[in-house]
Amino acid sequence: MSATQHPLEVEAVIFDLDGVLTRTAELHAAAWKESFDPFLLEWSESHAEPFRPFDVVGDYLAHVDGLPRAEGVRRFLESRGIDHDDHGDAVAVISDRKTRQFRERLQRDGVEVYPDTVALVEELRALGVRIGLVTSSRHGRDILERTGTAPLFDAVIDGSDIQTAGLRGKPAPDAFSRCAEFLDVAPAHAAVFEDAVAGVAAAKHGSFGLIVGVDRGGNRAALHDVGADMVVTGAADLDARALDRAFRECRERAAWRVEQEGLDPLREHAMESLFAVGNGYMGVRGAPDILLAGSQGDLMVAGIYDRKRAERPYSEHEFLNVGGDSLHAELVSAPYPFRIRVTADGDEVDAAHPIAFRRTLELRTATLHTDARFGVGDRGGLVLRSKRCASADDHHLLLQEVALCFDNPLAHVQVDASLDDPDLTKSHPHLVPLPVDAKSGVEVQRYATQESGYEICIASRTTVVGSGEDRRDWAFPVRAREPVVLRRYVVVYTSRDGTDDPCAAALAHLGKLEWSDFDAALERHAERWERLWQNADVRIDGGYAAEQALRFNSYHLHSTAARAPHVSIGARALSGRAYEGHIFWDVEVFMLPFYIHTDPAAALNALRYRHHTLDGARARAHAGGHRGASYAWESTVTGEDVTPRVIRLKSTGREIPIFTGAQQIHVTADVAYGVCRYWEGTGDDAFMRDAGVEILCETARYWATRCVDGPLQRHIRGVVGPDEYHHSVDDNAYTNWMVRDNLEQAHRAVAWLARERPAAWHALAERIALHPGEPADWLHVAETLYCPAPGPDGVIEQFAGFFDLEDYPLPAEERLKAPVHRLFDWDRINRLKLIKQADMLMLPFLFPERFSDEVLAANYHYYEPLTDHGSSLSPAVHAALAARLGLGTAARRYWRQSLWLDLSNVMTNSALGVHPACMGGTWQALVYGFLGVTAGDGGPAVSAEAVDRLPAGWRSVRTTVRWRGRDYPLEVKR
Amino acid sequence: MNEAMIGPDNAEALMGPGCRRAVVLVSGRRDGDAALAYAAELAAERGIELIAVHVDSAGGTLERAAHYADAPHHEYPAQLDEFVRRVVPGGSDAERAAITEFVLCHGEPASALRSVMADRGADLLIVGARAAREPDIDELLNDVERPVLVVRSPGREPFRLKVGKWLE
Repeated sequence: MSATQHPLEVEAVIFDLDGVLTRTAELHAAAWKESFDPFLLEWSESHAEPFRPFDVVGDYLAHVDGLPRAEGVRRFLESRGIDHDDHGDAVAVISDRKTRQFRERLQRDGVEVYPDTVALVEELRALGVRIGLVTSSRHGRDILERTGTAPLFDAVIDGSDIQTAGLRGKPAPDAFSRCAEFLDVAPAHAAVFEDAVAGVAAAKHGSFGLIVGVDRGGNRAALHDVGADMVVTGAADLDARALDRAFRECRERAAWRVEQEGLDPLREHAMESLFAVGNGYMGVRGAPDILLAGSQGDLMVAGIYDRKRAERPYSEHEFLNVGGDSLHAELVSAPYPFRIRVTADGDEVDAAHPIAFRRTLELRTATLHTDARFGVGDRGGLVLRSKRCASADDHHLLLQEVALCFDNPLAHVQVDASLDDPDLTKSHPHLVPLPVDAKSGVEVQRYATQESGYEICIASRTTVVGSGEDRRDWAFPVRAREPVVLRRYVVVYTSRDGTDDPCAAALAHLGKLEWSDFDAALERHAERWERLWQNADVRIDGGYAAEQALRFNSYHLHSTAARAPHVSIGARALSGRAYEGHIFWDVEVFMLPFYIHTDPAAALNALRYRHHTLDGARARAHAGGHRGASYAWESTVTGEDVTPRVIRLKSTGREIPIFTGAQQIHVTADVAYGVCRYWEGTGDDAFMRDAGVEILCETARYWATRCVDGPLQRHIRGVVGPDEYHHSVDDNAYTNWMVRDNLEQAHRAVAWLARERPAAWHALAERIALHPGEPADWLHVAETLYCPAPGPDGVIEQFAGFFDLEDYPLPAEERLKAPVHRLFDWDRINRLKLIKQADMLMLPFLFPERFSDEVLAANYHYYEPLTDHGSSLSPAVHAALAARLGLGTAARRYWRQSLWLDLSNVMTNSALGVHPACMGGTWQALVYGFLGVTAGDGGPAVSAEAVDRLPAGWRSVRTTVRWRGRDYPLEVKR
Repeated sequence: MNEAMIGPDNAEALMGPGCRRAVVLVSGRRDGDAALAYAAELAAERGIELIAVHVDSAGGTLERAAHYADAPHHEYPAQLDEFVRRVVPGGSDAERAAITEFVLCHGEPASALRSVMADRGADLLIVGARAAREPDIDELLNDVERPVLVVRSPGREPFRLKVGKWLE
């Protein structure tokens, strides 16, 4: 094996010098002592304080180890309460003295290396791993030469290099990052060995793949605390294979979490969306426990809507949506349920300026962790560690734990755990507070929505562990470094939960919760998620970053999955206010396949929502002069369409019409498609008997009257297809194909019900007054409905007249970045060959077996260059089709754009909520596009070509797909 | 264009006592955020009406409102709203109330700003430092017959989201 073709995953290892490679730590400690003690003696005499000499173990490890000299002097003096600024050039004098002392000792005593470290370095080198060394010591290179170890290192950064290059010393990551650059390796692919707290912190800040703490005695806990992934007593604890195993395990763990370091107020709203917790019943944005002034820590309960209010203070100055006025037009946001305020000896902790801030979404257990450090005036610091979740085991329950640990003893710490929002009117204008009568120790917030009349009750109890009581306000003294742990149960009920008294239900629920069960409640939540992951997880050997992003997407899809039959999933889930929580075709076409094959109960609820809103769809069809049921393009509670008709720009008075509500009627066929896909994937005959067939019948009825007769065939006129840039078009290929499928499937389903469940069939026919001849009429309409076929070149015309439109040379900068002037130029765009998102191409995406590779290729190559991907739904569809066509580069590019849509830091709209439909589309692109999964008699199977479609670097992909009640493991391996 | 640092002590002299209405260019970029934040503070303090302007410039260099717009009638109002909310999150009621109008324009930024300033009788133009370096805005700043305040971008907060390249 050549040196460059090593079999290990770890590509480089960077070692610290003192205490890791060499026994110089003792030399350094002794040199520090000889440098500090004269100063300390003089200081103690002049201040009439007892002389406390430098401790070569405790003081060395805690205050100077690993730091650049001057910084070490400052830190140590501060630890003794000595203001170095009051002592002239003390820092420089002590630093110089230490250098001299160390040099003398080095000359006199020599230096020993740790043979186990040298052995590990040699073994790693033999396996082709690149080796680096980083030390704050200015004598680093000298020591390497003296010990004869210099040839073992491919890159060295010592104290002199740090100073010359102007790098920041440890705990800043600069030196390690520079060393990784010299080694030509990404930090994520490298490991670091460090014995100093500052060094471990530096490696942590540099995001290295594995950080090994080396504890030569008494430092284990401190090394763990600052971020060591593992702590060893010496390199003898590991050989190269064990190190590589630990490295892999560490990266696998990293792919199970999303971590944010630092707090940027400008990105905070986006982070709140990404770090939202939810369980389908409710969602809470991921704001910090101690809120910032501008936090949007909304709590949203699925299915609770109110009439749209114009309190948006800014955009409503410019935009006014006209029409779509409904009692249930806007998802209601309720106050933040994880709020705490902390005051230390009279000073309120300022969350906007943390000293350190880390927010971690643990995807495996669906818990959000925060680890922050704040300054508390001149009283030292406060470390806040918290975790929270929306219980997957008990959908009405939120759990929160907050540990507060102060550096110094304080006489009077106050914690206010009240959920009362002082800005209720401004922040949550839909809510009116209602009077409550709660017993002591229980806090209840009870609200009514302004116009829709729903009631929301948020009840909570908070305790301090060990106190034995529940309180809203706490006041207590604290000891230094002894954590105080608060725990909170929050229970939420609404008047849509089948109870006349949500408040009584919430209080009864809350009353049953025991503090002794808190940990068990967290475990039950985690167990539920573990079961979800058994089907939802996708393992990618060689693709940690993709694995992490897929898990993030699955996390959000499951966090928002419908948990009741009267709710579905809004365009931005329960993570943001955008789209007002409206429900689109996104659910049936983009999300449903994910749920069908990972969590069929969630898929069932989403479809029962469509059955629940069938009366609204019937009313809509009737209002349009048609029979049957026509689903709303934007739907909320009743099935009424809540799409605005016009958007008005107040500054100019200009009105821009919105055609989607009236014309994007394919949503009705999309719902029918979802019903059939669910039935096929689950075999759930009971759903079809009770609801599915009725949906198919009523939608088929609608189409039978919506289609119009032409000279030879029937047509569907005046529609908007998935490409929303063109309105009032005739015979949109996607719409007509979907309608034909709807009609055929309705005929098939009726035949099945009549044959298999005759009593149910008769009951349904009577209930909806279905004429015996109607199903045959549907089939006839399907047979005579014009569905554009491939032309001589294989291309299917998107709608009648599309080929005659004006050419539009799409500028590269407009692809994937549709400019806002698309909104202004709606009339002009209607005349151009410019497509917003996959339209005709949706058909081979949904019905791959009906399109040959030749026809698919012809259409992909024709339409893809015309598409600006103005919708987040578009890249995933193109990724799936490009993968099938073997267009690897395009497939990977589109898939990556879709995969990282919300996690990517170049997107600008995740602050408004995450994109669950894009997430569902991404999953479909992987499963049906790259893996080419199809289901036959033997269940789902991957395509024989899948192995050739895998992105470079992926060694294998494994997942599990639920199919008709069974789980099918799938694997593609190079 | 006269350049000077404006603060509470010299604002009167630089802007003139009659400054009642200001236009601020909101780009969605960091320098635009800084301009808006400072403009809101100044406007609240001095009782100035603030008109926020976002210009969609086809082929231009100003950041667009959103990369994807699944439904423009939902996306753009919310996105513009967020432009303001994220910048003045903890602003006082007076700061928030100071923003009396938010105008979305289409076209070249300089002519759009010129037009809004003329229509609204604005006394002051506030832009971010990066926008000020763009040729057409630079030209506008040099010939506009009103005081111009160019706001420097703040340093970036230390921030990392450990995804993608952090694991690759």
